Amino acid sequence: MSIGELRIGWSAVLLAGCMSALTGCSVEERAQTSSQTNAVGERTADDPIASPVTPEEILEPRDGRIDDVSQYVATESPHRLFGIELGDGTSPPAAIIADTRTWSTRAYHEGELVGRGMRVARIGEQAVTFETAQGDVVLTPGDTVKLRIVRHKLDVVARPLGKNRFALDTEAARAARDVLPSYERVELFGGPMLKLGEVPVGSLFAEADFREGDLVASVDGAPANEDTLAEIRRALTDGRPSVNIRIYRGGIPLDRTYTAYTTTR
Amino acid sequence: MRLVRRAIPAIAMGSFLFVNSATATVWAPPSKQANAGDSISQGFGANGWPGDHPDLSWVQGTDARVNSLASRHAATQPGFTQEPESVSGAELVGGNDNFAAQAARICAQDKKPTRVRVLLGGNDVCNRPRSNSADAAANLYSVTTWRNALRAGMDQLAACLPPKSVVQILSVPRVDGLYQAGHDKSLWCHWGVWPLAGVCRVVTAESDPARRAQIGARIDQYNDVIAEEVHAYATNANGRNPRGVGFVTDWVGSIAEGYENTSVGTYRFGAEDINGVDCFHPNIDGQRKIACLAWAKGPEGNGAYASCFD
Repeated sequence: MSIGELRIGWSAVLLAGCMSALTGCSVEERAQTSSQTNAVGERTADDPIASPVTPEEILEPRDGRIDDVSQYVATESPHRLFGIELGDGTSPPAAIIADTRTWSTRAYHEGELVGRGMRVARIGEQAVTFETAQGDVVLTPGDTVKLRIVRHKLDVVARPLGKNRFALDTEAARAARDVLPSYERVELFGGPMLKLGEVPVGSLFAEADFREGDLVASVDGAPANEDTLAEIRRALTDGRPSVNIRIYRGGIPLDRTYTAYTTTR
Repeated sequence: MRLVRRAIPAIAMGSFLFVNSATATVWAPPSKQANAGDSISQGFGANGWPGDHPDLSWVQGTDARVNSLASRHAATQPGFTQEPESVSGAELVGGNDNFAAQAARICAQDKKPTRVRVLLGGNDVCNRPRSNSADAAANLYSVTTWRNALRAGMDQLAACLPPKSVVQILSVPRVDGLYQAGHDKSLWCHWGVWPLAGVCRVVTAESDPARRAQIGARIDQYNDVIAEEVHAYATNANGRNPRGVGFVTDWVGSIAEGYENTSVGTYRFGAEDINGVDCFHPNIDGQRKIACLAWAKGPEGNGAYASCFD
């Protein structure tokens, strides 16, 4: 699959801008960003190299305004559109997009931001249109294109590493909305669990990839009780090296490890 | 693709090579196996206890009652090793552990495998929300999405595995059949564990058998795509497999087309095949049947699978 199968609009301008920004990235800045490691010293070899952004690139700043543009960075990696899901008509259509660097794949909906410098403008039956400050990018299913993703440094709480492991940015976790999900206690598979109700958007739990319906079974081996959600909040924000949480999703146990992320930034 | 094992004197290292009877392809010896999969390949709940039990997995298991593919290889191939990559909860399309991600991890292994087994897709169905339209499958991934995600994994394996390795992609079991098996197993499954644990609600909460069948029909389409892509890669008709990695699948057609109990995707799982934990995953006997079928239809098998379901 070739990169850059862009069809219309300002895509060439976008790519030129991406390349320009990348080459404008100083060696020192690259070194700082690429020195990120987690507490056990892991660093995946394909961590993207971050580059600085301009205020004009940011479609939706964190907290509604840009106080310090240096708090934003951009990464570039090829993304592939697997397909377009129109659904049953009661939920919005979705574009299934994979970051080919990690193959982490998720559904994006119309109006949703991809980072802070790109928005899913339209999802049609045949194509998805991304809006950026430099112009539109259009993808059809199967296309792969290098996308420039702009993020605030506190935007990513838990970066998936695969196999239920997450790199946890404690600073970003502390900055997430401090509201706990609702829950009900259930007894299942011979033990107590907390079945999560709504997980508020932007909350620490949402940012740490908890979803409505998840069953929280244990934290660091301790069975769930009334204090478990508060304990998870503490564990994700107090800077401890790692925390292990067992949840059941769809009846399947997911033994997750969140390892604190340290950075030299 | 039906492959027949013929042991012939090895050219080097005293090992055996295998021959595809149809095309006379000589496959690399099965010195190492890797796999991409989900909770089925992790042996979830196979012994009646919640959690992964990889020793009871059809592909990587070590328990004699299952007689997994790894056990069979170990018994016939000196120095055989395996490095599984399956993850409970994984989808073929979505998430952080999808087929493409697991294929990338296989390609990153220091010693590359010469046998790769793939069984994914159940979570792609079970993780989708129920449809409110007349089409119960409306919220499932489209066939296009499925195909592109499948190719993303196959492309990587075709590029990184040693030539003459074999990738076996098994068909996806029909979750409407698993619903029926659980329904037949106990009332607790239907009224207790399924709603409490949220087990595959797209089908377990669906009271209309015709709508459950619509979901099953989409899985048939996914399996048709597997067969189409396997053929395209195996023959390099798509130009994506110039290095000659082998691709095989168990899928030959759907139940509606007359192929009942010829593949994982057409096997009618019964109450005796699934565990009592979530009433949805294979128990030891179910794992044994999948292993037997996969072996029979794999590069080392003789194609005779009918006795697997006894």
